Amino acid sequence: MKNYFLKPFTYFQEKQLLLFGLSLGLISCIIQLTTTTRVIALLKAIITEENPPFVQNIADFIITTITMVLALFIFGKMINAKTRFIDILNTVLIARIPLYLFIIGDINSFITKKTKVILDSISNPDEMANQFIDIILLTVFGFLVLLSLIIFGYYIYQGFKTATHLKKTSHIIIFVILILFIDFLTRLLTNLY
Amino acid sequence: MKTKHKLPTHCPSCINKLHVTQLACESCETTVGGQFNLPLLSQLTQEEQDFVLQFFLYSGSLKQMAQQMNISYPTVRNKLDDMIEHIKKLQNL
Ligand SMILES: [Zn+2]
Repeated sequence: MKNYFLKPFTYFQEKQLLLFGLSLGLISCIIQLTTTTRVIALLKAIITEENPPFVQNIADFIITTITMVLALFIFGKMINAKTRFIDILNTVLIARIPLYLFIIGDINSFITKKTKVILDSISNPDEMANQFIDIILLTVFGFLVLLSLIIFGYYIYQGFKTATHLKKTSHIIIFVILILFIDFLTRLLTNLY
Repeated sequence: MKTKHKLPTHCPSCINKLHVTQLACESCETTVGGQFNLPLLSQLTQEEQDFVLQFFLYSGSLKQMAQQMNISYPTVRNKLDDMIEHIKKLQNL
């Protein structure tokens, strides 16, 4: 059996990937309405005071996706002139799906509330003991976030490799640095509004 | 003398490239000896030869090939690029 799950960029057609990636992106923006989380870059979510408006969720989604896609597309073109925009777009859309965990964990501001309670009780050891289960819960969530980052890394590499036929180690190193740099840049960009 | 065995392209003993030293006529059993190189396309792996044939039958449309083979367009394109590289290497040998 072909492994669709491990190699989506090999076995799915571009229209299927695009439709799937865009739909899940839209769903994530809708779920985000119930959170107090703003995704200000592919790899960074921040806690906000109020539930973010839908327009802002969509704007964040588009800007974080497009900045990464443009950067990877230009780099992809430099590696291989045959690189197509659609393949890079699909790569970013699919790779960021595991990162929606940020949003899902904060449904009904779940993680935000727990974090605030623990932070408030940090100076008081007696109260800290009462938060034991919540601390474990947040630790597990932190572990899952780490896992989602690894899965993101796996998919973005698979997608970019398929889109550009990437082979050289030097290109792989630049690829990793580029993602981290653009992610940092996006954080500044989304902070402008 | 009809055989359907695949033509071996590399020596099973030392992995070096094989070449043809004898050809035989099916009807009168005349044999010709000499040193003949295998045609370039015959030197490709079986998988590569199948790919070339498919590519030809789809009139060179990678998009159609991708859809028929149930793999993505860039995957087919990358396979083709690897083969082009392989054939260029064979040409320079
Ligand atoms: Zn004869």
